[in-house]
Amino acid sequence: MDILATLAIVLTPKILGTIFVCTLYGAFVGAMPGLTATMAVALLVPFTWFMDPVQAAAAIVATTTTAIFAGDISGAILKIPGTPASAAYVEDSYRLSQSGKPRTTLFTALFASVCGGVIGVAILAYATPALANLSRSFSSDEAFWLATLGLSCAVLVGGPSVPRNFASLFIGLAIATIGIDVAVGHPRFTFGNIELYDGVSFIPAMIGMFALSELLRNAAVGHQTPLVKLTVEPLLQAITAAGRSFLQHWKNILRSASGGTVIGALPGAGADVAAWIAYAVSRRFSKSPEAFGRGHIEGIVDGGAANNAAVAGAWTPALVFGIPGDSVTAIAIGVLMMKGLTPGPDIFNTDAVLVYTIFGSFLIANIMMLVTGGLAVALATQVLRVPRAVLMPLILLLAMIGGFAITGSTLAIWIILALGLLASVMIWSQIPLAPAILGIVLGRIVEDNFMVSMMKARGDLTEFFARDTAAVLGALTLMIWAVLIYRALRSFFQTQTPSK
Amino acid sequence: MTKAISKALLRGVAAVALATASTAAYAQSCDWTPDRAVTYIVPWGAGGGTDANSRMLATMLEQKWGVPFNVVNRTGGNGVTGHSAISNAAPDGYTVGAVTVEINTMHWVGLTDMTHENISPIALIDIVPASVLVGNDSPFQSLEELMDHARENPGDLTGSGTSLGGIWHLALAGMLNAEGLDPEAIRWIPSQGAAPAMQELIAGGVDIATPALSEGRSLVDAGELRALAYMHDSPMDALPDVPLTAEVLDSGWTLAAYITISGPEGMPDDIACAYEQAVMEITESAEWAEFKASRGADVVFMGREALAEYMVTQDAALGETIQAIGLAD
Amino acid sequence: MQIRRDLIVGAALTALAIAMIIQTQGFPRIRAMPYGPDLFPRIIAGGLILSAIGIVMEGLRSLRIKAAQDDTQVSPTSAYGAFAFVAIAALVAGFALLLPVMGFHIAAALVVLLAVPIFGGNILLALVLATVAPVVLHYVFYSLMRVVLPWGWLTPYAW
Repeated sequence: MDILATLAIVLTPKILGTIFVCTLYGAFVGAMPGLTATMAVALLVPFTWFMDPVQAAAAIVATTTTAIFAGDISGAILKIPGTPASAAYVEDSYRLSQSGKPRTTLFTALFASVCGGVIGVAILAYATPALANLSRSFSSDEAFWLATLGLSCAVLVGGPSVPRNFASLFIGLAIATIGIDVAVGHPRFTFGNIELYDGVSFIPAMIGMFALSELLRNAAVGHQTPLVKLTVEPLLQAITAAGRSFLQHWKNILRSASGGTVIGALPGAGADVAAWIAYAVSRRFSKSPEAFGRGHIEGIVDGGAANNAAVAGAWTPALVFGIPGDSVTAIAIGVLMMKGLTPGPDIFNTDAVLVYTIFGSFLIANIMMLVTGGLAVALATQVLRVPRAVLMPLILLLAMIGGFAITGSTLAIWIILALGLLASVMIWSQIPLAPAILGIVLGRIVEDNFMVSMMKARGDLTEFFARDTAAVLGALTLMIWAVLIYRALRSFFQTQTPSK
Repeated sequence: MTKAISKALLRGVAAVALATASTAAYAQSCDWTPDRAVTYIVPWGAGGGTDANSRMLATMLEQKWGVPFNVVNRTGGNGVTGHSAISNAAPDGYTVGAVTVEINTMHWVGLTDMTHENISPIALIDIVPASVLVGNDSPFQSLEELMDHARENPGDLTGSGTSLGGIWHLALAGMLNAEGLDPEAIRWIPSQGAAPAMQELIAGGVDIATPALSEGRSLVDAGELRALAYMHDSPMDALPDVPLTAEVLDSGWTLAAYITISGPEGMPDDIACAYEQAVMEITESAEWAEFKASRGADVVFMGREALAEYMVTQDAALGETIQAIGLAD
Repeated sequence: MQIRRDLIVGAALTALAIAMIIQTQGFPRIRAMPYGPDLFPRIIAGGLILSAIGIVMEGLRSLRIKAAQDDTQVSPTSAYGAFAFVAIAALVAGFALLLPVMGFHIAAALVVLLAVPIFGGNILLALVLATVAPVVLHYVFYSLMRVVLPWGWLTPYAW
């Protein structure tokens, strides 16, 4: 099927209109704290009943793509990452926007996201069978190694002190052990609270750690200047500056987008893992690694490109096996089935048109996101012109509703409070926050896959290397860990004896 | 004077009101309707079978009654969290939920004290029989071969599909037990649901999976997986050739999960009855039939009384299985 | 003093780790296996203790090479700052407690009403925001996005 024919199907006014409306909807939902892409798609389902399959798929695709980008908006402006995928670089984007460059930051993120999305689709269109084969080989062993590899990013995304980064990571992992365990279903550290059986969910955790701790800090130190407003640069100037920094980092985008697509296609990983790994890799190869986490644009470019590419990649297992990689694609499969289409290896023969329209819709949605996402950025950054005394109480309220919206219970608000206070203590202790979030996001994946593999192998650790893909991933992970530990020890002992 | 008159008047009005109320109660005690938004609690995640059925029903109830039916996914604790939320809500008709077969299993494995006594059944809307799936490169061509292998090499094979003690685990262990095998002759590997279990099966991480056949249908259709058995007594329309356990097994073992719409404990009769009628009308509609067909499922319906009885028998049967396989608390 | 802070942090992390290990004592095991749900919490507790040791050693080292430049950004908090910190935390707790009882509108209005003065706004601003914000947010989350916000005392007027 050639590209032009596909585009001809997608470029009808009806489909274009659907995509346009859905990118607006996705931008709105993504930028609101507590409203997730999953929620947006679930609410879309009743509307898809009146759509033809192509239109329905386009609607879902457009909504998720924009929602993942728009998570950056609330991250930069309110320090509330819209999705865990934006959490990797929220420290950078928030500091940049506080320093008077919110629009430049967000437009750069937008350009990176759009580019990441487009590259993701391109890879998907040409390499789905190859990606599908890779994902076919993924059992709990491979998923365990990949998640462990993700954990090693903690050293790279944190601050200058290695022990403190590890302390932060382990605090996050400890929080992730709360809830029913996978092996025998025993409730751990729940103190009899049934609602905690599901563990601590990411969104309230992120809201607490990033947003509430910031509000508390602000209340404690900033009351002297209640009516101070932040500066927001003129739109055109921001777009030009963003375009320049986008062109400067095209290599990063290429690298992170292709990596993100592959990670997104793998079971057990998703846009969030893609963003963390891209951010860490970016820092490792950057000329100015010390600037990361203090308001550096490079990490935002990498993370932003990677997570939008991963959204495209996530459709691989869904389309080829009918196995959803996340809840968004799970809902999408349900919608497609209602339209009489069954995802599976044959879908490229039986419903090739649909598959390529999904790719086409991705492409168009990403391009339209330039307009709608840009509009969202331009409007949302106006919020920063609002005086502190107005903005801060509203963020507080929004943070709490956002948490409540995720679980539908007040437990989320308690989690926000507890983790907000914990984060305040961590800031006082000079322990960075980002590795802890990484621990909360990945802790469950690492443990579940580890326990499942152990149960399969009846405790035989060599089984973790028994499969080809697992052996490669395992060796790679162990090597990276060895290097990290060696470097940490070396730098520790070198500086122990004063060099000057 | 005026006081007396108004008192008399009031009494009269009250008497008339009472009279109309009692006749109305007899003729149409089911005419309760919600006049504000209703919360529809689903104890399982967005995108799953329970979620899809419940969201469809919620949308159609919304069209019928003209108030929003807001679906909330209260996941966690292998179903405990959501079921508790349904059970503990005010029984005023403004909270209903998707109570599933786990109401009959959770209390046996000691996750909670809550049983089907603590909810008000309204209607059964889906029956979801289990299956036995293997990868397309598996050496087992029939259920018999699989069972023979398991009998001779206990503990050699692994199976997956849901958490330990979850319904698809009971399907496998119960089948082994009914056929006179050790329930652990095929070792259970817990998973976070059917989708990850089937991923594991395709990747060769486990030997079999026993999720709902409807969940594995697209992979079976695609030739990625092979269905060795359907744990039911009548074939599935979408996959009519899959052997039925009721026919091929000596014990005639079958197992199905089910999805209901139920209310909190102590829901008044008139409200429950109104829901029952509304759901019945919806399940008879062409739109519902079309939705069911798209998922490869049959339209099923069971009213309040039948469902309550069904839950009692299911509870006893599943309890027996759980005790037999040594998972009882 | 940096080293004092490092010691406190190290002690706190160790205490957390020990508490975790004690809690795992009662966890069940997977049948026929020498480990179970307690394995990961114990590994993590071990990691916490190692990090604590690392943090303390780092503190001692910087003490010895006298390069300890205290780059703490935590400015000495004023009494009002401490009060504001506690007040905001209390508002969050209060919202969690009162939301199911009072309903969203009243609880949210109260939060805004009290939060605006803490962040330095005047009463008039607080009143205006407390009236407008709950209504707008309720429309967005409840009416548009179908989030089930509780009505509480306003249940009779619910829609």
